[in-house]
Amino acid sequence: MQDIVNESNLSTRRRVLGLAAAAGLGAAALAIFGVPTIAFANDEDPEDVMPGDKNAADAFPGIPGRNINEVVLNFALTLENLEADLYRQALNLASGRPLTSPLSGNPSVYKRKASGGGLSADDTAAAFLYLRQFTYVEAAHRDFLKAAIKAGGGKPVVPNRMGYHFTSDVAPNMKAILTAILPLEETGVRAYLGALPFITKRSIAVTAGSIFSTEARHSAVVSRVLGGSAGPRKMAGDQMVAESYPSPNTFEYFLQPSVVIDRVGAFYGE
Amino acid sequence: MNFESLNSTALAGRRNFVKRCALAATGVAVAAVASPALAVSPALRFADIPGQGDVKVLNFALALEDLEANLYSQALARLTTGGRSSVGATIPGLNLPASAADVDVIRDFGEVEREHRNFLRSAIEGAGATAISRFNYDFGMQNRSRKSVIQLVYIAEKTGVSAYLGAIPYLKTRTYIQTAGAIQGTEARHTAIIADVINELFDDGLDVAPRSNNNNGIDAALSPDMVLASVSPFIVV
Repeated sequence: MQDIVNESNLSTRRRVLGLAAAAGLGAAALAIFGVPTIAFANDEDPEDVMPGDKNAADAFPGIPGRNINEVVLNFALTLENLEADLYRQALNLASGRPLTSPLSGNPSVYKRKASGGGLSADDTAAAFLYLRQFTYVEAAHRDFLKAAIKAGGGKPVVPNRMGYHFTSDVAPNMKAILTAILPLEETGVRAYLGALPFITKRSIAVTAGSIFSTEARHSAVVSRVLGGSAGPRKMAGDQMVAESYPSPNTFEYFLQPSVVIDRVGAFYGE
Repeated sequence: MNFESLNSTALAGRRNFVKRCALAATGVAVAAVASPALAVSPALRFADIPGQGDVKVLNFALALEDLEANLYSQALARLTTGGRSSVGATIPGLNLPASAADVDVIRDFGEVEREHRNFLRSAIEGAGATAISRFNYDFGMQNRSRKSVIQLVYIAEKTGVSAYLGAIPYLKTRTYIQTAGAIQGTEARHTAIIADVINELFDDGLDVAPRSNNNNGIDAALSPDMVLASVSPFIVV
């Protein structure tokens, strides 16, 4: 008991060491904590297709697709194209590399050059390691969606030809960089939840939900590193799944697809 | 009831299923429960959850939220001033301060889980259906170390994320899918923050979110049967 109580005195943030160890111990941690993915092998396997609204695609102005599910996947890809590219730029900025450098296949080429910008030393290191991890995750989401659309015989949307930019200049420090990233992640969370009820194939709804919750994880962690709460916190324009929430962080919020499409336009280079 | 009751042949199939799933999803947690005095539930199946259609799925979610809410309250008791488990075991407190990172998040997230539970219960009852009865839970909390307390909470939240994903295909009403998603997202936030706190307090190396080389960087679904088998060892009958 005494040992346990003494642990509470170690309130210094040792997360950084933990993160560094993650690289080496990743496999072991997975073996212990990994939850396996399994197929829906069950007597009660539901039909995959739900009834839908013929005009559902109208809710996604400008997003192509032969049917509503493909439209939703292209909507998701539109967001992931943007997120992946802005994360790539953010990682370059944090590493002192030219913003135009393509994402390296080797994550370890990225070393932090940016200062903390007011974050503690441990939070600064954590901020960089999470930024690097999430950059590759967003690229994986993009590639996964692109492959899913192609596999279904569809045509994936292409990234904006003129590229993407943050809505304001981002200083080369970790606090400023994560502060610029957070609204992207939070918008992504709300975009997926807003699109979810339009999907008419259950398997695609599960896929969208699977990406949605990783964006929620990213948002929470970025917010915590910046000294905030796990969230969600209500933002301008947010819609709720219930008439009222018992407290602001009980349920996620969502945005209508048209609102999201309008907002992401601000990140498009022209 | 005692462990002997689990040895009947009739339960063997279910018990093996529990074992397989428990090892996969909650191996650490189950192994850490030291000689519970009460018998654990045979593995519940989705078919055992009361109600039909959407009500069945909502009751499944309610059962999980009830477990999580109970777990959080026992976990907070263990980390702070102690208390009693829902089966009457005395839980001595570890007397950690309210400012400790684990106490802080467990207190906050526990409140959210109680709200999820209350919301689901009212939704089911508001639809004129019957909500699933509450279970009693034995998490072996009285014997858990500080680290083991938060590890169990981590596993429960992570299982919750996968459970909601696995439940989506069983929901018939699409607005319910969105509501389930709204809960699932918060469970994902909790999972990520708890991983971060574990890393911070115990120099651990948990991923806060699936990495790019893990399932395309996305969360994984678990079928309702698998989820129920994972949590059944904590349910006392």
